Amino acid sequence: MSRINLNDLDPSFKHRVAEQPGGQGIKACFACKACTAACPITAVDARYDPRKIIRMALLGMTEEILHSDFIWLCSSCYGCQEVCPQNVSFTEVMFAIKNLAAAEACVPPGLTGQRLLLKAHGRLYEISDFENEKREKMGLPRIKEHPEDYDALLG
Amino acid sequence: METDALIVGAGVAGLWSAWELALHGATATIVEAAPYPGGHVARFCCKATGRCQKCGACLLEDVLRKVRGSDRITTLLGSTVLEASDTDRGFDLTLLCRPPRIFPDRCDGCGACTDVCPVPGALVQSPFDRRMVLDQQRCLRFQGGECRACEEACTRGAVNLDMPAQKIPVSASAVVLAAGFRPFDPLEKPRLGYGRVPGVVTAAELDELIRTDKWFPGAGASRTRSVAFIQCVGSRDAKIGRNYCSRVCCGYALRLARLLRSRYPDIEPTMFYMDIQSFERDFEARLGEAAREARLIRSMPAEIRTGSDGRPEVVYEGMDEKRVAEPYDMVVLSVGISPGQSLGNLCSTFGIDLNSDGFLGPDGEAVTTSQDGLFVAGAVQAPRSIEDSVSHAIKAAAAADRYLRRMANREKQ
Repeated sequence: MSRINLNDLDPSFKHRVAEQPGGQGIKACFACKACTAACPITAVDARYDPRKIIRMALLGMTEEILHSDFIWLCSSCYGCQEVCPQNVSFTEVMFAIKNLAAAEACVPPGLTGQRLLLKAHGRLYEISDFENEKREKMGLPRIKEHPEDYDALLG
Repeated sequence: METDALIVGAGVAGLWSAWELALHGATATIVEAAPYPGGHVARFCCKATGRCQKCGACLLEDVLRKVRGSDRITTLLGSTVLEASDTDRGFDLTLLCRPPRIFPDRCDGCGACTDVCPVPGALVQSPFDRRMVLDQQRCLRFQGGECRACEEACTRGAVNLDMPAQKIPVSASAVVLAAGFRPFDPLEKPRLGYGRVPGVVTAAELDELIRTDKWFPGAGASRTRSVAFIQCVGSRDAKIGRNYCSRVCCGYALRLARLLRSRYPDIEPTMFYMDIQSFERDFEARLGEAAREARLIRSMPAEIRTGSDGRPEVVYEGMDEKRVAEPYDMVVLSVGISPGQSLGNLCSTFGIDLNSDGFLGPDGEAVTTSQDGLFVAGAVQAPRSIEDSVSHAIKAAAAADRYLRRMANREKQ
């Protein structure tokens, strides 16, 4: 990691995270590393490290966090929350951080694509004839490709 | 029975309060629920490595000798406070005194009774001699059962289950509560493997094994070489309602590690911690020495599981940011100090409240409570080391003594 310049840090960032629903716990972290040791994502991709993300947020490395691609790697398995002795609720903190990133239009293009799919189809993948034929064989109704009510729900 | 001060608990704090009050000329009666005095400290070993490590365990033997030699102090073992009421002259109390169930002059500590006892921990060896003692708060017979297994197994007629317990009224001018603490039960943290993974023990268990000369590293391939100490087990844990530092575990884990190494130089201790906290004098120097002998890893394990070779495996995030699953020959959980189990009873008996951490009495270092003439001493009020318990107990005794004098003066007038 490159050198951190204290003048570039944004001390208000931790407060912004803490104001988000679920983000309140972030300031209680002791940096004990139990969350990182329990995280299945860290095991396969070292860029995602819960303890480090908390430290970065507490230091105020706003740009580095919001513009990163690693904050989107969280699988929301809640393993970190399970082992945390300080009730940091890190999975919720991640949602808070991701919401802040979305508000600042820092969402990676892949995720934007997924969101559009969700909006258009009501699910993360298109329903093709393949799925519907299978469903018919099992006596299940066809799935509508463009349910009207999803548009209303998603706005 | 009349006494100047009634002291609840014959641990190091209670004994020291009693001794200090006796020094000032007061009479003291100590009420202890266990069948032997000394509390937890009676089961701790001396941690000297050829040089004193200042663990404080010897402070107990010291004060026990003093208390036994004092004619101003009465000690009632196997006894508890049933009721207490305030009067204008102090407290009127009712004690439940249970006679000793094993005659010390007949018992030779053969252990035949323990072998047949269905309740683990009900019959234990006294920490001071080889004789057995019966914990009447665990024994089935005194919980309404009919078991007489130990009596039937004893060949020397030392067991006596029939002498009735007595209720004794006592009036005391002051009461010192020194009921001590409860070691954290690691079953509350199942991910640390206690009771499930072989080779995971608590530091208190290891301490007692060393004290009674029952711990050896073994020989050959199964010799214990690598030992992991896990810190903050039941301390600084908001999730289980113990969001305080127990203040003693860093110190005792480092001392145990050094003790093991000085006896068996091939033992390699590792300590997993989140913060090293020091509350004692010269701690920095001790830490420096320990750091040369032990591997200190700032990382709390996520899990302790049984490894493929049957040894306990500690899963943690290493210093080089790699996930590590490391096998150890033994994992020692540095269990913290939890509020004592009798505190709820004491609160309702004496009409006082628990403090913010769940201990008895006020926050901070105070020895007085919301009740006049009622004092707290030692780890009953907050996590304390042996040394700190002793100084807190002396402070409590001094406050109780001042109170007794004030009361005596008032009566004269």
